Amino acid sequence: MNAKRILTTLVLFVLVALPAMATAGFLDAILDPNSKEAKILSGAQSVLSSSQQMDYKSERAIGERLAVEGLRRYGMPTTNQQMQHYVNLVGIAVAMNSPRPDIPYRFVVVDSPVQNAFACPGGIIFVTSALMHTIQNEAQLAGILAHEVGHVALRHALKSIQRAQFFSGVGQITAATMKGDKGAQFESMIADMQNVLFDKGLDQNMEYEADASAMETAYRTGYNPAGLMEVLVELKRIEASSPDKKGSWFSTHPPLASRIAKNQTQMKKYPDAAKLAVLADRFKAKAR
Amino acid sequence: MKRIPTIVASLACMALFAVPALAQDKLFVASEGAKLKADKSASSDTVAELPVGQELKVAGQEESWYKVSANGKSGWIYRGKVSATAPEPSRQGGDNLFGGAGSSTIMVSEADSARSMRGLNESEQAAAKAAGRPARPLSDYKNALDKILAEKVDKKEIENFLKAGHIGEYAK
Repeated sequence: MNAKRILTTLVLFVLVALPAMATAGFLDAILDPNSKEAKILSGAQSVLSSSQQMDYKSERAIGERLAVEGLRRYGMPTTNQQMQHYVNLVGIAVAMNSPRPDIPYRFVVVDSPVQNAFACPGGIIFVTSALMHTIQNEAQLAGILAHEVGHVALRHALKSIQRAQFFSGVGQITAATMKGDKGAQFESMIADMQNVLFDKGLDQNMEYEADASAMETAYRTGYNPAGLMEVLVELKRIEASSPDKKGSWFSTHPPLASRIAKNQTQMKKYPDAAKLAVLADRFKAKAR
Repeated sequence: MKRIPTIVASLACMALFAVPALAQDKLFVASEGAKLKADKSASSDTVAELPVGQELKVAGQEESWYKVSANGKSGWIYRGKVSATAPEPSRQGGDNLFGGAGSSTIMVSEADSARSMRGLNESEQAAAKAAGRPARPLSDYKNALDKILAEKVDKKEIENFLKAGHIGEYAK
């Protein structure tokens, strides 16, 4: 009797479970909702949790204010309109496949000898002309832009300033609500965020999160996800001789060696990476 | 009566193995500009344009394409456009990557509400000194930012750009 019962169970198991397991295999590991990557990408394991999510207009108001500071700090937009437009095309193409595809991103190259890229909340993303010079192809540019899009998508800058009390009393940031004490608090918050974005840098784990998100986003778009890592390797090579470390990628990002190692590990998820778009010629035609 | 434990054991097996698989028979549109194509090729006819968050029933996968159905229509979707979990719903009410008219004019109107905020408590002298450059009138920065925000990119241009570069679903 016992043997028969076990046999029945086994037959049922084979009938039910095996086809299910076979089906489970046909989706990429990336798509597994329970994988660590998926949780990171969906923001479920955010470095800091925000008690309250700000509305988009307020986020953009902060972002635009920081963008003005970025222009003052790093330099004005380069006058090469063809390059500006090209960077927007690559940036928006990756943003469409990012974890936050539904806000209006804009990208700008600014004249600066400092190697850096940064993202203002709401989606205004800066790349310096020096970093554009380091980048050698479109997949690398896509990787850098997708990293910055990742910071915006995961709301890293906002999460890094713990000013819950500031946001709790304000439905929306407008000129009218920013008078008096609130205005002073707003300025103090902007100053903190500038310090984070331009000097101190975001939390290391946020950088790793943005890297993981960037590789995933570049891959989903169809660029070789190794592009970001290649730029990091080149930055590491020139780090020693770089004269301008202050306010640069070197001072605002975690050690390059550890990021490169993590990104190399993640590359294992993309066995067909080498077949994806790189586009060195188009990059040189549009961005040089 | 003795059959009950067997049935329970079988059901347990089903619960353990079948449920995760069923969860993956379903995907969600996770990208802007996702299209349901008649065949597993970007050059095939577009059956439908799919919004972010649209749930898809998966029938299979070939190369980089999933065979799916949604709203009674079936076709193929490129792997880069989907995710296994529903994307976080948008919270900004109506804004999107390209604005309502399919182009990026939204940035200009957004700029209005924020414009008055940009000039608060400026300290251009200090910023200029820190950056080692002469001070500029603040209007220079505001104009530069307006120009950045006014940059126009529409969906069609992005599509052509991806096509020309043989990127993603347009790969050769």
